[in-house]
Amino acid sequence: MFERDLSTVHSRLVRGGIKPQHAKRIVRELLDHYTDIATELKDRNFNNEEIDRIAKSRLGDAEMIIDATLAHPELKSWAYRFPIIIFLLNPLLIYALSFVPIYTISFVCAVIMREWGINFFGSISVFASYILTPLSCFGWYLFGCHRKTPYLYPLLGILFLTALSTVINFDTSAIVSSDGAAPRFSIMIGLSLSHPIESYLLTTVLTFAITGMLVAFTKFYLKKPVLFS
Amino acid sequence: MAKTNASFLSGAPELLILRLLSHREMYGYELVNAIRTVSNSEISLAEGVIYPLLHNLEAKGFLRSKDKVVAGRKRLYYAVTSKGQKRLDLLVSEWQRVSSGVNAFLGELNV
Repeated sequence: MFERDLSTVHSRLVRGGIKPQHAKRIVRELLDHYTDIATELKDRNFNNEEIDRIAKSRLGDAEMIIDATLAHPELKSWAYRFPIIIFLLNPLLIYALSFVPIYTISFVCAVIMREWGINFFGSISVFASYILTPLSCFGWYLFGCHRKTPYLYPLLGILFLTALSTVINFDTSAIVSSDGAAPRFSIMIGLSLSHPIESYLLTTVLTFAITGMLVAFTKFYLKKPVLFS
Repeated sequence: MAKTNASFLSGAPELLILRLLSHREMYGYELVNAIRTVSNSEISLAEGVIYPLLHNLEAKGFLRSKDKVVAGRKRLYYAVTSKGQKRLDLLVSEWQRVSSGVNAFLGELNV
């Protein structure tokens, strides 16, 4: 019974923005405290029913503990304290940084494996342009689920990221000369605010569709309506 | 046992916790019992509320926590850091200043 109360406390704390490690530790400490009170009362010959009642009364009700914890902003996660930075600026940074290893690998492949490497380079470019956005969005969605944030900010992050990907154009090329000289690469990154490319728009639609399915799956099948709290 | 009037205790739990933990490291249950013993049961809080306070003080760098196994049970012990000691000194001087001011009102008033 008490374990069920603690499970509620944990869930409410995480949903209220408390860092998961603090929520987990508070629950563990409350359980230890309950056990200590129970041991103390058992030594004084109280029966199990009285022990449970007195221990709960001494600990205070769940609402009081939850309110007391939520009153401390220092215990809240960054996702709750600075949602704009976490869900709008971080995706941009991660999205941009994720291109670095991908292009590094493809450059190395092109230099070492010549023709085959050039083809690989082309495939990687397509992957980076079209697939990274949905992948970044899924990562962001899962992070939001883990932190049980309100739905607004992760969805805004996805919107921001996909909107960005529709107006940023990547044009990559690699040329291998027949005289054995080193391959030449070019990557052009451009902004087309007035004419977003159709394929990027498709990526946007795809991203939203898959994210929507994930949200629906979470809500209806896993019975965890974390993004609708 | 009646719970202590919360409005009279504003800021005091932090002082009590830092003071007790500056004496020696303790875990939550031990700390609550120490508060009750030292205050002759005059100060009584909902015991579960001590943990958010401890976590908050730790997050601010006033306390540090460490797992220890004692008599076969794993306990989370809290101790005061040097930053916490400075905070305690400040709280003690503030408390003494305020309480002497309030005490002056409890004597004979000549206004």
